[in-house]
Amino acid sequence: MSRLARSAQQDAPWVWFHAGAVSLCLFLMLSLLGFIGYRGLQYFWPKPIETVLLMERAESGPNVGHLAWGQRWVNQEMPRLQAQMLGLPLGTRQTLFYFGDQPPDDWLVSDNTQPSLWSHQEYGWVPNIEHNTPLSNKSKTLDVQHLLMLRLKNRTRLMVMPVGWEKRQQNRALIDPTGPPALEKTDSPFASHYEGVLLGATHWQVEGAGGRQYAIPLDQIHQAYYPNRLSWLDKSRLFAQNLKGFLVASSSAHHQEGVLPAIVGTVLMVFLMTLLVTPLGICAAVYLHEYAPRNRITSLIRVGVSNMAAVPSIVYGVFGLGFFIHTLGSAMDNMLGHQQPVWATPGLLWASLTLALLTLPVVIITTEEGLARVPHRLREGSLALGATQAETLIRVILPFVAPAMMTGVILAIARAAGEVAPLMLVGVVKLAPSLPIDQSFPFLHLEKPFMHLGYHIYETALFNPKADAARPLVFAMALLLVLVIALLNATAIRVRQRLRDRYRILDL
Amino acid sequence: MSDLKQPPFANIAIDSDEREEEREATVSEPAALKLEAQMLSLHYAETLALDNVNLAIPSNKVTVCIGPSGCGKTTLLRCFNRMNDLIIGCRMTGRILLDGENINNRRVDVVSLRRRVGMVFQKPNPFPMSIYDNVAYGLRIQGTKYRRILDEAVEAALNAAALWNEVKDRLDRPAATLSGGQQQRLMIARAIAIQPEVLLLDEPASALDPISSLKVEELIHELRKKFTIVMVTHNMQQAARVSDFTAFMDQGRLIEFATTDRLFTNPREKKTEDYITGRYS
Repeated sequence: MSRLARSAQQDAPWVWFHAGAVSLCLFLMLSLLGFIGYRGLQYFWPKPIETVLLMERAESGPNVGHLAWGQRWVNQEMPRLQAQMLGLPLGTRQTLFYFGDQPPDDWLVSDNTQPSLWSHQEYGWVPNIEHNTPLSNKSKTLDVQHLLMLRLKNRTRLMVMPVGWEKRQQNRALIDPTGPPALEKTDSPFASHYEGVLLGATHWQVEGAGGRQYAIPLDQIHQAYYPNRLSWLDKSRLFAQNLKGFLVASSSAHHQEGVLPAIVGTVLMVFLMTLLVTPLGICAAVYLHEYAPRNRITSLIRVGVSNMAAVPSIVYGVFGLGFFIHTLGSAMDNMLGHQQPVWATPGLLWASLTLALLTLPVVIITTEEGLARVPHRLREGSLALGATQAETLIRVILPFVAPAMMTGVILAIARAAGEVAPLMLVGVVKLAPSLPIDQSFPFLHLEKPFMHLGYHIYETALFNPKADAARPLVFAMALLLVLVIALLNATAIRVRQRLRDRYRILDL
Repeated sequence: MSDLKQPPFANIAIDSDEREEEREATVSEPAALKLEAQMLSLHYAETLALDNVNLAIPSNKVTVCIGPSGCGKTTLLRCFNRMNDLIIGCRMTGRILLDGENINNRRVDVVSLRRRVGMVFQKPNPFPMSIYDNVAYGLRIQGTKYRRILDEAVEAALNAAALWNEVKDRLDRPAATLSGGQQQRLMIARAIAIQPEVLLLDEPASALDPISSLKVEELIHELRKKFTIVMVTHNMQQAARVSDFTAFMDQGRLIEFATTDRLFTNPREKKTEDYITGRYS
């Protein structure tokens, strides 16, 4: 008994050691997800406007202070450049103070479709609105049309309606009292969202920090709200609204937001890639394992395939550009008689093909490993019943290997969905004018360039004119990419589990 | 090397030739010959696995092959339906006659040969499909599509394998859900569903408990009416119980072949006697 107890005791440190490794992995994984999730979702949570006093340390005499206002996105010392962009006077050294206890309650934030110098968001107040009107009691978040309807009531002849608004409001007596308005449509990108009926004023006059006057074109205003008056509930509502906008708003209307095309592009590309790589990889693995003679050349091929998996992905990108687009695409254009290059441009098909090539070794290797695990007895059993090799393969071996093949496909999906470098050469763009899938024949446009989440992150993080402000957005997109890949993988794993259940063998 | 080995080989060959006449005297009366190995030798790469084996297996009898591990029993069995073709570096010389036709010949279609000579392996190897599909497998690859014909054949085969009553309510369950003994009988049902002429059994009961083992033995006894059975076993009681003829092999050579009664009661070779009495070393 004591000996048994002792050996259990001797084991304990090892158990702890291994359990520690697992918990470290778990911790790292969870902190990654947690960090990305927190920082990503933070972007959509409305922030209060804070007043900032910038102290300029003078060379001689008393220090001079300047006021600045803004929403605090990042807790860090403001670099000089940024302060300059805020229009703050610069001295030699600056110290930053936050006065969170003096919120300018009457300030509005408006999200604009057209970026001004430094942001999509403008801060300011609207001089013509009395801020203590029912507006603040009823809803502290404003839709533009709501705001402007209020203005309509308050003496200004101005109205903006969203598409379809007219029908909903028909029964209400909210029509301009002075008579039928002169209709005038705008050509701005915002017109797809709001059919503007503008009478008189076309701009929203706001007064900003330091008494500066802004004129924001009305058709560019997406939404406006009082950030410092929001209750928790309002904030949540706004949060949900922002999140929805992030996912669904079309990218052409809103520069930074609207990642739906990127999601569609990513998923579509992965699906196409899977369709291309699965049959090819499985056939190649079957030949290598079942039919190829076991000699030097076969093992050389096998080593070559394994090494292909280690080739950097950008190399595949270069190959895709050189071979698929410039050679194959040009040849197709010549054959089909296109005057303009149609296939000889980066596009969905070429990107999928390049990624299929990239993930082919993974599928081949996993399938071959699966084939090697098939018990020899199974094969013999089928052959002994007078089955040919092909019949054995199709009826017995492949069903048995199906879960292993799915493992290969899962690995391929995981690799392909996260790949960015080769895509930049063969089909991904920052802004695609249209989705590669739509309602016009042939529905799936393989030659069109597309958007990809991974590339979108890269683009936003590095080449955004306002990289600092876009940083939270980068986190949000990273979170989304993780979710999309997890979803794709979960689907494949589900399929594999069903195959396993179907072809389960207990005693083999 | 070969000079050294030559004399003993020659001796044995003469030996077995001499005995052949005597064997035919005892065997030929009850039944015609079904399978016959003539001067059969087999190499795995450099190893000699079968050494000039001459053996005649009578029709509709149970012939059992005994011998110590590695003596070539299973290899001999696998020669009869050319399963050794799958093994790389395996060379086979000599003749194997099935109904007087040499099957150790490149022109022979192994697929149709294996349909005539079925085999059941040491461990059950059910396919990853249902019980029904396992039994119907052989018929389906021969092109039988009609459900009614398949149903009848599956039921007949399972009945013949004494498994029908146990599985008739769960034919669509995976074959792997059966117990080991049931699986082995399923393997026999699968093999006899395609109506072979010869059934090769490679230690069919070695992985089974005594009760399942007995069931399989009873089954073999029954099956002898329809098939010629060649069986390999390690279990000498089993060999004595189920077989009509027994072959004793050692180190790739056939030492003695006789009716089971005679071989177990009155072995002529010293080695045989040592082996069946447990003095073999």
